[in-house]
Amino acid sequence: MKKKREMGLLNIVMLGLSGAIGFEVFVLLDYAYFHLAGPNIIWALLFAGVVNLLIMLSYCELSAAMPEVGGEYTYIKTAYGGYVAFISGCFRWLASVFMAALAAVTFTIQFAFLLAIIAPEAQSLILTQIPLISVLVIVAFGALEIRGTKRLGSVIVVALIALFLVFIVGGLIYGLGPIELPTEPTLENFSGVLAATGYVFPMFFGVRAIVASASLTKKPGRNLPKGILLSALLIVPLYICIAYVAVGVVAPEEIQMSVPLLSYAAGKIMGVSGWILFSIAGMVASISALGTSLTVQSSIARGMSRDGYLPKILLKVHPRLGTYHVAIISGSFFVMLLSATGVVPFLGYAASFGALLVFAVVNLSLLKLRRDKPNMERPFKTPGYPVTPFAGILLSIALLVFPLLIGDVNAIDALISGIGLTALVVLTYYLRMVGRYRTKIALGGINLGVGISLAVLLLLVEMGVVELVFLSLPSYILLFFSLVFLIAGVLHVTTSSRGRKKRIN
Amino acid sequence: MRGRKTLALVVGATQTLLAITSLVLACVLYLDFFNSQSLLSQTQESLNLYVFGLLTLSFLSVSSGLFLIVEWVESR
Repeated sequence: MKKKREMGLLNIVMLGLSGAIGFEVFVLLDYAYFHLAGPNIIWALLFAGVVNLLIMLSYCELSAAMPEVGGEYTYIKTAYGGYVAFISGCFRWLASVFMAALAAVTFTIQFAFLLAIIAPEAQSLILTQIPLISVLVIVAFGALEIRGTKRLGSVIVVALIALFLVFIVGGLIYGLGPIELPTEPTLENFSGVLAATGYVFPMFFGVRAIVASASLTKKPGRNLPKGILLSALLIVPLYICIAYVAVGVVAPEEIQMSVPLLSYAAGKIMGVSGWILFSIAGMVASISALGTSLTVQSSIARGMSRDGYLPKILLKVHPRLGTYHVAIISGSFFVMLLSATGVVPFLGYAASFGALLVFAVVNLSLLKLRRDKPNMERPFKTPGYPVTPFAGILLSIALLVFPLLIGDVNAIDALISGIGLTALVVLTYYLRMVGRYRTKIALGGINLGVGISLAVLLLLVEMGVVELVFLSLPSYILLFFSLVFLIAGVLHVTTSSRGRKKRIN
Repeated sequence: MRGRKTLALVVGATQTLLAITSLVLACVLYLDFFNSQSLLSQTQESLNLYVFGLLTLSFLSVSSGLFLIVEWVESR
């Protein structure tokens, strides 16, 4: 049954703010402030807000023209067809998976910070076991997602806004220290600011959550662009004020990176109660984001599965609970693997990169649709076309490239991991598209190749021509592996042909 | 026919097990659990290569193993 369009402008703005204001502010400011930009983080937040606004202008036009289920996936599919939409869907999925991992790690860090007051002896234990505890958090909340949970998005965002306002007013009353913004721009400052802009970008792009509910919006041609722009505009001054107070209260050399900036600043402004309040707020926001990200990744995976790009098993519904347990469990596995790194900057960059690539493709889609479908009904047109979408593409790429140019190891790791995971998904796509028969033939060939290579290696080791330096495996183990791969190769090649005959008959 | 089915199951299960072992070993090496990097006393570059090799082997092995297990399940 088709759902009614019943969301007004206020609901839309609240949805945008719920998407944007979350756990990111509790975790991303730390690295950006202490390691990348220092007090210039205020400029980084302003730049990130402006870039987000530029990109959201394209979202306004596309969502008003196509107020349907699917958001970015629908826009890209309309412009470029299935394959590009699938790749973009993968990037979007990756961003959600990295975001979920970041939320789990943030929860653990905030919990450790809270324990510093309640049980200081337990804090060091938590801090040394961040990866393990993050994985346990994902297992617990993954299970809750499978059971089915109710969202409290609007309640949490109202509570967070109230808390931030108290923080800002409290900070101004407490008195801010001198904030030393450099008067002369230098290359070092500039590159640090741009790297920080890319890093804090996930604090802003949650506004796009609005397009996911486009099919439920009243008068979408008018309300969607207004809602997206209002939300994107409102969060910029809010974040700048929060950062301004935090930077004014805490000097860069005052604390180490393992301490969350906002909770520490709240502790200085409001005393122990502020410390506890902000730690709990960070934990609640992280849990909420973890649940949302697990749901989002599951819905993206199911969308691609419905279109035939991924296995149909992802669409399986739990017979008793009525949730998509296979999609949630398979996504949670990747989230656990990533959160086991426990490295916040790596996860932050990776989440940002995935989203930036999707944004670049969305802007490209806008350009293509304007050219290919000039008569399409467009209740909202992006001002400054074609400069605006071009700027959106260039800035998305620039934010992706700058952290790499300054040689940030976390950014490089994030990019390599992202490429690896994308390659895995693209490979799955090709395996799916070429069909089972051809895949088995290919796998058979590869298995035979590996088996023969291992046998040759064994021979060379036995003859003393080469020496195993990494793991000195005994000869019989190498022989066993070689046989396993050879038999697997023969089985694949022979059963495939029988399967094909059966299908032809 | 029966022997072939059993062989598919045994080889499939062995390859899946091998994939899981390789994956765990790659994670232990990359994340330096149990001080594994210094225990093996390898350079960072060679360790990255080994991790990449283990991940590739793991992916190939699990794909092949699962196909064989699916074949066994379908032939039951």
